[in-house]
Amino acid sequence: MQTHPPDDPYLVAHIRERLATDPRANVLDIEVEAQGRQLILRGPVASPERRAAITGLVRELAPDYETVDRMTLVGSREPRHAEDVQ
Amino acid sequence: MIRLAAVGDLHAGLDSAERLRDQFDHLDDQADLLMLAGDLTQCGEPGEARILAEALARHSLPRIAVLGNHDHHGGQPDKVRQTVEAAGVRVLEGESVTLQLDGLRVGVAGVKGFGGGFWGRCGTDFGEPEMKAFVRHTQAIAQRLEAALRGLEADVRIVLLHYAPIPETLEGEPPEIFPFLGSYLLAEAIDRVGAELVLHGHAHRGAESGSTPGGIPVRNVAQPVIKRAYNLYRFDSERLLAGSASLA
Repeated sequence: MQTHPPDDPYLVAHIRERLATDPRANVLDIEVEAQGRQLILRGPVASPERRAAITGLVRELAPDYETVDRMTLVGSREPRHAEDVQ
Repeated sequence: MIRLAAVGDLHAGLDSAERLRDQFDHLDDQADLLMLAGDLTQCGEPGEARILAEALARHSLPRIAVLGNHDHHGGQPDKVRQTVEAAGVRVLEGESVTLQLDGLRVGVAGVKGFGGGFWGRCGTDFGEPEMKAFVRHTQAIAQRLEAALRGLEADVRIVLLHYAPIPETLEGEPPEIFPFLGSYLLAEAIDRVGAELVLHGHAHRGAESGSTPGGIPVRNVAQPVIKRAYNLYRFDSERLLAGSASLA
């Protein structure tokens, strides 16, 4: 697997590509921001298992970076009211 | 009164059985009809579709869906569709269906849709074959949607999409990717015929509400947007049957 040296200008693009195409993740909407030696992940995730898969994959791809998980679990509570469409 | 539950982007994975079961636990008490706005699965594998099918098979209300881009990723959209349909879910791809609910004819026209962008900032049928193919694909989809809508004889018409027909419900997404999230051609097809409600998914960071240039309400029901198990929409059967349907 290709790993990325420090300060690789294509790092974020390649990580986002792998997050989309790797069957462990297959996500298109996770933001990846490189800040110094940190990779900050933001965006909605459907489950704790998917969250773990995403962070695990990013750590594999960029072992020289600290992966920071700021992703949020998608809400799934039942609705309390309905919209009237007329 | 007709109660419609709608959500998109469930992204069922092999580990999603318990999540999906809990998500729809009280659905039959709350709604008369369920609509799923695409991305039923995470990567379009039949095994994922089976997980969703098993969760939905527990419910008796009519269930209608369209596929999304994720449902095509595994190269087996027909198998995803068949698996979900085996659980009693009607999947629409440029087709329509009419249901009788509370004395009302509820017509649904559905199609996945595709990209291309919006007025003034969109792809055109010009240049390389690949570019023309991209644009012509959405043109063909919009034509099928228009034909499906025209074929409906219903008291209320609902359009179910995965891709967005307007940019308003994409606000929050980076504008650079709007062309990959939907196309104005879908809205144009809908406005030419008319409908009472348009539902779509796909844009996880988008906004919930908007309307077509013709004034038809559009709702982005992608689960990351609505942050709920599903949204509920109510149609007043008496008012619609009396022929006084108007936009609230």
